[in-house]
Amino acid sequence: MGYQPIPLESWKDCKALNNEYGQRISRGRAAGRLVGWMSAVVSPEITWAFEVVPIGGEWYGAIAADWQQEQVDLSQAAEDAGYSRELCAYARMSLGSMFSGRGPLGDFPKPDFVVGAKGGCNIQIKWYEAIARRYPVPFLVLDTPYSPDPEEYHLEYYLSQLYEYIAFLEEVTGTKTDEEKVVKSVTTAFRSSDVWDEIMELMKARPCPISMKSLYSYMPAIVNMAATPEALALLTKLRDELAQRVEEGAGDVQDESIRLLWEGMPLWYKLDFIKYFHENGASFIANGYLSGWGNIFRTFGDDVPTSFGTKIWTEPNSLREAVLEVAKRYVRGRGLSHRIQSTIRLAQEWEADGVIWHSNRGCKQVASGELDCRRSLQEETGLPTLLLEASMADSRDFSEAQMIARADAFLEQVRQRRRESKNVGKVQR
Amino acid sequence: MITAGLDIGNRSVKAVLLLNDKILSHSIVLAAADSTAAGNQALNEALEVAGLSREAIEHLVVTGAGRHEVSFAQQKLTEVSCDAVGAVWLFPAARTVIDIGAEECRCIKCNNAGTVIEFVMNDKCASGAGIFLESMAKALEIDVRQMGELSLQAQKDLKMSTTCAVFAESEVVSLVHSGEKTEDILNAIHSSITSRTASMLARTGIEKDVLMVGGVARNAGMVDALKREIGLDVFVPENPELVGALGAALHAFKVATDPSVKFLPEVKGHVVETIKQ
Repeated sequence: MGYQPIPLESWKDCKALNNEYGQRISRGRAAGRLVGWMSAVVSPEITWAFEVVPIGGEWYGAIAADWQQEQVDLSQAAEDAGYSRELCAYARMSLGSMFSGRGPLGDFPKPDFVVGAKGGCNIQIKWYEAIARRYPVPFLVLDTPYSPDPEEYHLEYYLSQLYEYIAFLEEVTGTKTDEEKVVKSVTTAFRSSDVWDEIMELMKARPCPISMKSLYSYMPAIVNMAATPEALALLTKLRDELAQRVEEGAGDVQDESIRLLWEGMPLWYKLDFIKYFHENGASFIANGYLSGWGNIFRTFGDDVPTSFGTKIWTEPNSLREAVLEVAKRYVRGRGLSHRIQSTIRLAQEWEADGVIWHSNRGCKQVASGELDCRRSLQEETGLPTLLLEASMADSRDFSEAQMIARADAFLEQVRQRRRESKNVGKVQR
Repeated sequence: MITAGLDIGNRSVKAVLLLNDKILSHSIVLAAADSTAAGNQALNEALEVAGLSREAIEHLVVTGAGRHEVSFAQQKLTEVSCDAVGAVWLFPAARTVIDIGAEECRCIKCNNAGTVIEFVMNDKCASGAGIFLESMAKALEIDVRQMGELSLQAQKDLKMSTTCAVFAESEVVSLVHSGEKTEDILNAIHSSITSRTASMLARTGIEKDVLMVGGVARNAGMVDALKREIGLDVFVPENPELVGALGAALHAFKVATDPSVKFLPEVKGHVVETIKQ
């Protein structure tokens, strides 16, 4: 028993699509398209309506982190250039690649334009500016408003930002906006998000139908390419496969006895760490980072989603409607209280037995507030929790023996607490 | 029924034998590169004291940093689980357990059944563990076993400014050259460790009664410094370094008498092999 992953029929398509994303860069450049470095939250819905080749900085950071020993060299190159080791590891991957000229795709893919956005985190503003300044190339920052309770004027503000982005793309490409393409691109992206929500929902099944390790490979489809018909087709195929597994009661961890929520970023260079939990009967059934690419955490719109299946976007019929839908997606309630609520919701709705936080070194956006989040969740749910300190993209910050020591103790704790709650009706404190 | 617990630590290996749920005998031997040999030695010495042979043991649980190296135990458990069970057995009112060993420090919050509610480990920084004390004793040219009692004679509240075990030695030398008394310096060293322990306790939360276990608990100065730091009584069992092995033995007794009690299935193979890419 243990971890015996069931082969996915969509796996080949997934690999092909991921490779395609990388190959687009050289193919697109050869075809005269402009290459744009940008954050994943720089509305891919709008970007894909233009004839450009987007490179997601986070995507690049993730594949660079998986680049065996070379990924340490990339960090070192960034540090040699004067960047702190405490800086976001994704940023160090792309900056290190830029300074050394090499990376997981071969040469560093030079940008023709760069777009940063505050929607991911504040680091992205200066990270992308550093790339733009080196060449130098046109650079735009999308100023996503941060508010725990966004109002109409926040939405209007971001709408103006998105129109500025469209104007920027027109200027750098020398083309006019194809409104129909934007509408189609946005619609496809939102349909992909709906399918992603369904996939997240299917993870509630017992056993969980898919290992989180496998699911991470589908992230480029939802994060970077959701606006493409190919990505929508892939995600739909995956959803159907998983639905079939749920019907058959099949899952990658055959003797699943513990269900965990993983909060925070993946360990891109050590996804195999997930296997350790699987070998010990534990599945990861939810992850806030994964769920966030769907719709369940959106808080702006006519219908605030309180349960799965609530339709919260309207099919656009015009450029204005399409851009408005995009604005509503990115202008969402942000702040510690939202984070706490989202985490508690995932833990309760997905019926987790425990929660593991990955405290990602160098990731201020995510690290800030995680202890408060953890404490609130413990008070609200009584669930056992574990904080693991590592990095999403710097393997030097991963100490295997220490992580295993903590994982062992945590899994014992989860089993003991669950047995105790069965015996006495509730967990004793 | 005879059950046994073995704690393969970084500096010492401890064995505890139980007759049902009563302690029959125990032993402590120095750790060695060969954990199996050291584990066997500790177990055999405890058996000799009890006048028993190995065949008498119904169930053996091993814990400690070297537990994965030992193949002759029926079960392996982490020190966190074992500390909690052992602590509550010795002190039924214990709810916060601090285990400062040679190379690690653990803070554990548990309930009245010895079930772990929360835990925090520090195995990144040596300045919170026993080897730091050993290197400080060397710097002060005293026996590490004298540190505790001597520090209780401190008159001055000195502060160590460095947080690093490596640089602390040069700071101690500097304090000596400044004419500061050994007992005052020792008190400062103890306080620097307990301030870091207190940070860990802030994460687990502190609930009375507080129990300190592990070899460092024999240092009366450390216990005193911790009491002052957290403002609560800190209790220390008679043989604090045996609590992990005791907890392991108690787990063994539970499993031997109640087969429905299951713990973490044995890790398949060595850690590195399990998650090798």
